[in-house]
Amino acid sequence: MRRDETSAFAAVAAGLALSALVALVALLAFSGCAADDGPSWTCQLATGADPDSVPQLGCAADHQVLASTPLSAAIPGAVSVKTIVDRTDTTLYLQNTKRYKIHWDFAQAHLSGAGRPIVPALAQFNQTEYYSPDRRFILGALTHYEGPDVWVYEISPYDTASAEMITQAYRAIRDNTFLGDKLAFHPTSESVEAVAKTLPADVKVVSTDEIFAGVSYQPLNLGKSMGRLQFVQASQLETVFVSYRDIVVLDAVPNDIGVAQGIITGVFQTPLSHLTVLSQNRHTPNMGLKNGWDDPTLRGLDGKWVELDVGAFEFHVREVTQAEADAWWEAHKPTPVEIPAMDLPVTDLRNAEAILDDAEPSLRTRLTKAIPAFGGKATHFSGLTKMGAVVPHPKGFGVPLYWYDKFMKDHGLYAEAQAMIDDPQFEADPMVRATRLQAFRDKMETLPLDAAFEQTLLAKLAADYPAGLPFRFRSSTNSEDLFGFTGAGLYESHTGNPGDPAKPVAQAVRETWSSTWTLRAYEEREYRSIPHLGVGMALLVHPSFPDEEANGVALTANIFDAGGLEPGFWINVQVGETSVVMPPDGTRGDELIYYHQLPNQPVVYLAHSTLVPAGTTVLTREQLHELGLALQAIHDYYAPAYGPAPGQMGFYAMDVEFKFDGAPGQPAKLVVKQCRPHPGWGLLP
Amino acid sequence: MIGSARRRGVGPVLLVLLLAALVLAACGEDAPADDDDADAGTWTGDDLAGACALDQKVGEFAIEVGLGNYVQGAVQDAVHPNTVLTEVQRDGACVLLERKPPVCSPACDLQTQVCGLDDQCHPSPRNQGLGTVTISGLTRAVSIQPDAQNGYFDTGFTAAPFALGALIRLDASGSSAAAAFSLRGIGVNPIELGSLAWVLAPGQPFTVEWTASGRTDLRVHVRMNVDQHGNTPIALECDVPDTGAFTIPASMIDALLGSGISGVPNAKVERHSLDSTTVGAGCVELSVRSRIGEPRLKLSIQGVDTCPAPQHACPEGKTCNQATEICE
Repeated sequence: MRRDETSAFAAVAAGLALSALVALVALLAFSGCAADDGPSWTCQLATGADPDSVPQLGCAADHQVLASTPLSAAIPGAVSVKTIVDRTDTTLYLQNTKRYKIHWDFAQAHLSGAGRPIVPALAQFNQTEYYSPDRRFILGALTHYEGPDVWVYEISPYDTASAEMITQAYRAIRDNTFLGDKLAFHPTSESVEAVAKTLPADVKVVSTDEIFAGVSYQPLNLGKSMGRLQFVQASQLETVFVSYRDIVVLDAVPNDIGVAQGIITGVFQTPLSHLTVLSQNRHTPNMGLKNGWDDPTLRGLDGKWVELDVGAFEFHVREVTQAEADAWWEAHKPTPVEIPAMDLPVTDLRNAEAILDDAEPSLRTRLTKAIPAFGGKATHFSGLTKMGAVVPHPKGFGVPLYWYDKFMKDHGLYAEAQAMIDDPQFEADPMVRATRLQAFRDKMETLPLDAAFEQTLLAKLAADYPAGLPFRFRSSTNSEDLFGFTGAGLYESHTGNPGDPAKPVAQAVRETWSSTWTLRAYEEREYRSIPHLGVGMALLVHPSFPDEEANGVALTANIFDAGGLEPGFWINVQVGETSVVMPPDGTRGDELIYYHQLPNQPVVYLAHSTLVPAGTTVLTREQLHELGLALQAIHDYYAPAYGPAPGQMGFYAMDVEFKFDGAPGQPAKLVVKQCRPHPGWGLLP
Repeated sequence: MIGSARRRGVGPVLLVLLLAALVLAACGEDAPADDDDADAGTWTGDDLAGACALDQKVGEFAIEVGLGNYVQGAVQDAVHPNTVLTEVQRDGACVLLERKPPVCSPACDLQTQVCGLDDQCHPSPRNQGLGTVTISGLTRAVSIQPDAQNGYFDTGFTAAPFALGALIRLDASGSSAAAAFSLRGIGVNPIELGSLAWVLAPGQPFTVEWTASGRTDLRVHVRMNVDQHGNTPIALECDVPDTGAFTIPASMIDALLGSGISGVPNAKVERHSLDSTTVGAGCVELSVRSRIGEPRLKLSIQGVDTCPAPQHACPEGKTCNQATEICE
């Protein structure tokens, strides 16, 4: 533990009267009792004390008096005290962050005028104090990450403070708090990491990865629910029945799970994995808890009715009575999802750019008119064609759901499906449902397509595309990619190639259509009271990408910043074709927040790909920028339909699927595959 | 880009001012505030060059009356790209400005460089020493030396630093980094607003009212943003004559609100005279002004209840989101 008495005296000389007095008292105390290995610290704030700032912290309780949760926090369990070093006199201020939430609030109230420089208006303050080498202040935060019990000094991800400035602030905090050498500097972005490499040896540095390694709790979907706690191994989910009244503890992250009232995985999840998106769709709480599978508290509640409360920074679980749980269920039954009726008069195979009717002035009306005929996926894909070159996309077209409906009618499949659904055994036993639905799909995949339709489809592929291309036939139902209900992961896509007898187009169409009747799609519709026979499947057709260099998903908002104070894009990207939404065991992609709107466009890497060499990233800066431009265009285009109305607040994001693809030896270029409205991060009211 | 400078008859005046600056520099800090020789000549706000173009502006000096009575300024050796805004929408006297971030690849060394609007890395703009800065026409003599960051300030005024109509002149003696220059201004009286609680409503125009100074050569400038704690890339600015009232069109209110809302909407209004001149490769402004902004002036959005203080009560049925300071 070290302490620089000179800086403490400087604080007394220049600082606020009360704060200075506290510092002086502390200094005298320490000088009287310091051992050779440094002073011992004691708490400096009396019970009930609530100062605007202090020059020193004597213990964790002092920190707690002043600290608040950060406005935006990608790493859970953080509490911060904002710090200011005034370079005009090198004074350190540890500001009451409960009272002054941003640096400017404190600076303009206490550090402006009366012989000091004026603190300018907020906008100008932000322009200089994070970016200028000649700034007056060094702005940062002293943060405690509770999970790993790590104390760090941090600056904003976009702050361009020099190594000298960071060192000055770090040493001031180290020497004026009880932390001493326990304090580390935590680089919060890629650019700050670069500066951190030039810091002197006495500035300890801790990486995001190291902090995450000590974090045990990962909130994925916030909310509260009641259900019966049940432990299930992920590998057994195909044979173990999960009730919609269960809260399930899993040892690993499965790619799919039936409806449950809550999910706790014993390992961390990827925020846009299918499991996470399913929970968001269902508005059920979902969290990761390292070693949750063996957690004694959870184990003690196995089989019991519990309340699970997943918060942004902590979770709570408590036993409740069955009566309480039943009452909760009655009050919180999911509201039925209303899907648009199939628009059957539309029969033409329509190029994507014509699916949305530009003559209709309201985007929402355009969407509402197109989705009943072409489904959610093809309709939103049509929007991608309206955004110019900044959003590169494959040339595609839509097959209206008329042809699915005709297929079902031609072969009597609606009646067969209805009989299956009405069977009491089917209704009562999930294993019977699984078996019967599989048989139903198998039958669909053997039945012929309407001959005229098949001929028209092949003719269009031949006329509009080069020969020999494989095509992706993608589900586009009227019950997916809707506002408030994405249906993500419920339906399938298949590949067909007119020039390859082993991959007939008709088979790809049939297989995709038959995925309307997978168990997971059926169960999800049942839970949300969606009429099964009211669902029709259109197709989005475009060339497939067999050899992509990278693929990923993104949200056009910063999911760790629900208030929108630090807008950014959340991106999860992996090299090659390795899925990021259903990652193979042991793999994960680059996960990052990209602050596209901010100067210097900082990047915060939350996790690094396990499939690229250490120290490298999946995407280059140019590719990130290319992606950022596209994400912004998508966000802006769909904002009138899905964003908050002018003058209203609210989380809004589009969920975007993309890849980077290029000819051998050429730089891989962005291709946007799809977008849809994201259901949100937490429980809807 | 917006903000083209108005420049009329600067050359001869500059020469006079340069001579005056030399005289003042020789006099040092004891120069009298009402030195007749130094104040030779007269001018009105109409004679001043107005604002710098944003893509030329390298610095500003402000002399402010009101809640803060002070002189402060700094001049950099290049334009900082963060301050260059692009016009995205205009209606009458109002303009919606957006900061478009450039991208540099490979990334710049941000300790010493900044990514320029040409997507190339450039040295970070630095404050320049300007020599001694002296100001005449104020209630007392002002002579300022640069601080450690080459900033200039005098915040020692206990009362208004100038009177309405005062002829104010700033002279920088120059240094090895920057040539000498002079700027002029007109004393303004403190601005008083008709309301300090502004509420914007979608689809509605918004009228700003203030007590006019009675001078036709002064301007009133309004700036507001409603997003990202002031760090927003979008801001609404209006520049109008000092007539006492002005209405911001509904189209501009909608454009501002449509760009996003989050936490701490803020606004400022200032009455000012603006002069500018070329220094090196850039343009420097002198703003003689009276300003009201946050926290005295409260801006809110109709239907969005804010709770800026922990004890602030939200309407019934809503609770305060401490992160965004919004009642939800």
